[in-house]
Amino acid sequence: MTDPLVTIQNVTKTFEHEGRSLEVLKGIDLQIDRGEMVTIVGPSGAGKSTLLHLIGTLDLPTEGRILFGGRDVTRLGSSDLAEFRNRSIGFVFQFHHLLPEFTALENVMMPGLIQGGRRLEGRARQLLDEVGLTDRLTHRPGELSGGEQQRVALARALLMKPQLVLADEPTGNLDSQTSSAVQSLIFDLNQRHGITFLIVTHSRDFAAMMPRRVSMKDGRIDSDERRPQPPENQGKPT
Amino acid sequence: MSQPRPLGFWAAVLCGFGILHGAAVLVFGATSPLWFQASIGDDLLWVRLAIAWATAQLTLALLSTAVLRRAAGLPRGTRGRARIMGLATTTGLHAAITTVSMGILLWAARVSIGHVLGGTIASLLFGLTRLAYSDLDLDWVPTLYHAATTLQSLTAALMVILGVSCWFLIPVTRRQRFWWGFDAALVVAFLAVSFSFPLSPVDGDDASLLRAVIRMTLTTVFALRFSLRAIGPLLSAFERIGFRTMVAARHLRAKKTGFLAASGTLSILAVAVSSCMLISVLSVMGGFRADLKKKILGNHAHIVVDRVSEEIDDWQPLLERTRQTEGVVAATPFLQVEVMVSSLSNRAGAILRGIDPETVSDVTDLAHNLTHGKLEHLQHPERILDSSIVTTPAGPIDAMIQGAERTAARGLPAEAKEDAMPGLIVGQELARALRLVVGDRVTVVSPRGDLGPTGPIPKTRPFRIAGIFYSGMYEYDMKHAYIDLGVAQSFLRSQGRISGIEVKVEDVERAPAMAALLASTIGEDGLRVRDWKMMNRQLFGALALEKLAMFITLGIAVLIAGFSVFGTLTLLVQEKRREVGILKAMGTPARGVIRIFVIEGLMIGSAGGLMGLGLGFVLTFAAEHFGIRMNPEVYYIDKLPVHLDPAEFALVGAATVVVCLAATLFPAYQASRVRPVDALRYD
Repeated sequence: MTDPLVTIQNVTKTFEHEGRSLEVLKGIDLQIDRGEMVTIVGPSGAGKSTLLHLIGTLDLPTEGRILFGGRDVTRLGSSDLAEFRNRSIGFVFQFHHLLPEFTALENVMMPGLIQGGRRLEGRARQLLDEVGLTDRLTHRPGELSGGEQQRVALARALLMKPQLVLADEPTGNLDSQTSSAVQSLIFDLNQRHGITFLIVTHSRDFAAMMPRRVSMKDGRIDSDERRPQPPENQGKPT
Repeated sequence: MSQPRPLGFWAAVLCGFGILHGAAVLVFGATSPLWFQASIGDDLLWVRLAIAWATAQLTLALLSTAVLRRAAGLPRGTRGRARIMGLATTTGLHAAITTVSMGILLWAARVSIGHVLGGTIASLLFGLTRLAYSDLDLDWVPTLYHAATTLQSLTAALMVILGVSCWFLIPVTRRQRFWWGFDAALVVAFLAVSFSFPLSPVDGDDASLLRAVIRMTLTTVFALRFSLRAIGPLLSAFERIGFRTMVAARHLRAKKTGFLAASGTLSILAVAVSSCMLISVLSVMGGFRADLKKKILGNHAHIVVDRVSEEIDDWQPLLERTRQTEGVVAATPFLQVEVMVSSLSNRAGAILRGIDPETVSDVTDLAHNLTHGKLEHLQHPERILDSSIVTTPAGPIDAMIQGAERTAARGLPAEAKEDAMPGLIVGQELARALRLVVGDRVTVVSPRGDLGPTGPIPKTRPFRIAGIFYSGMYEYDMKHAYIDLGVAQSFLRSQGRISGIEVKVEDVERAPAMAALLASTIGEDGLRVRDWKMMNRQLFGALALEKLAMFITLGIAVLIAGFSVFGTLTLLVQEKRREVGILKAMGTPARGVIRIFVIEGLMIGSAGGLMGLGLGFVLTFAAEHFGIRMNPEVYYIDKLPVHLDPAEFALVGAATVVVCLAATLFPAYQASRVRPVDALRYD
């Protein structure tokens, strides 16, 4: 399929801070195809998270366009944006960011609830089952371990069957055992559901496993490597 | 279970007992003169009180010793040890003070026996604590008594505070079990009280008043506990409605940081107190208005038909036409003129009204308002003297003073001739000013007299008091006197004319429209038709203005409560910033975020509003049914009038909700402006 899922065209982002402007992104061009597994690596302050936020429409670029399936998402109105984020994007954050007052099941169901009353409880249960948390449904985030919380966040990101899941250091504060469990879960989900993943990570091991690795430095794309021979866990494009 | 539990069974009992006893002492202390008064002359009540008191002190002393010994055995630094020891010490001290002071008082009573002849223990004690018999060298007794009661109140207050703080040492599960027990007992008590105790007391019966108060108190506590129990299920119901109410209800339910929890509780209380105040004051103002309206309508007709400057001639057909008009219940003619009434001892100006005794009762409450005498005596003055013997006079002292005068007046040889004297009904205040009772003789001086050589000579005529009325309005009671219409016409030489017609209509509130209708149907040149609202426009206008001013002033209190809701919500938004960021990242539109916080604010507002209205209802209900006594010499009403208007409750509720809604808008807007990137960047 030649039609790319995300096209980033000459995107720059400048932050104003105490009267001085700080150019975080200095012209990014990037294409992500459907079903791809892309990782962004680079030193701190390279602009990885900012790029992720721009793609997820949590922030607007200073210049440039971001096309999602051919649609320019930088020009959407606020309610269209909300709708777009709800249906097409799934977020997994480093600090998982679950809602503390709600149970695991309710957290996973939340995007469906936001969307308007559809509870999608069956699908939420199924997803929690898939990430191995069948017996943690009624637990609050505070009663779950870090790895469990991250898996709940992953299940939540997948509830609305988004086309793209953005993950900002999903294994950032997990021990090596739980992070490899989460990693293999991500590969597994990509393989079975063909979901496109864009993952920012500091973990060399994780990055090394990814079929495509974009490395950033100082607000620019430094290199964009694709593995010539995809490993056995490369997702099949839909 | 490694840590020893500081609060044993007896300590828990002491805690509960301490709270109850402390509260009881505070209530008892505040009302002690009443108890003293009540127990004077009733030694049985006094003995009962003394036994209950002594038992309570003994129990407290035993409990506090036991608990103190156990608490002292606990290792230092155990959580709650200091509190329990404090409670036990305070309780012991309280019991000791009470016992010692009562002992001294009783000894003093023994010493002073004989100072109250035939008195009771209570009256003896009352004399000791209030007066101290100077010849007995016991003048230190009142000082001791006051010092002891002050110390008792202080220790009681301390007991309540320490008891409440010890209460939280009890494990949660036990506290829950206690509340279940408490609520079960409460339900039983509530049902029992609802079936056996009256809602409003019988007048003058203290026992029924006490029962009614107990019933209302229990019902209020029951309603309070019930609503507390209902909060959980209610929030759950909200959660099922939809996403926004679900998030809002969860936010309110979640354990918050201390300051926010305090702020939330305070804003609910602020809304409650201000709306309670507003509705109570409005109800009292409404009560005054209703009272005034009732009195005005009782004394005056709904509509008065008259001429501007002259009397009405040939009024019979006019009266007939008025009576036949649709919506008119009754009509009665009257003749009115200002006169001077003079008794043996005094004289006063009055408005003399000639009325038709047969039909006047259909229009005004005059017959109903008569406290002495009868309306029919106007037509049959010869019956006055027969009944005046059994009629109780207005006041015993008045009667004593006037007794001699009256017998002198009545003992006149020309009694047979005097029987022909026509009857006159006066108001209570006029009767008091002229020192009159039923059967007394007065002279009425009319300005419409004959023309003499030096100008008009006032015409006088003797009347006999046929009745005294009490309308509740000073102006009427002081200024009005009634006589038979025929007598008035001959006395005033009006040649059969009348001043006007008083009309009663079906619907009081529609009187203005009826007045217009009457004016068009019986319309005649120079006829004036006025309704009661028009005639008392200034009075009601002033009342309405006063009420509006009150509404605005107290509405500002509600507004300030709204500021508190504003503050709480701003804090809440700050605390939930990260969650708002998450919700927005997951695709909640700005509208949705606004609604979530508006719902939260409305929940706080309506909780406070409902509480305030409930409290206001209880207060006004109590004032209406139990009656808050007022000094009739000052206010001319014996109890505070209260009028519960459902429309006003709805208005205050709506105003509260609107204020809270307005208070939520800005914080909610702030929440909707939270950028997920900023909220999620750092944890």
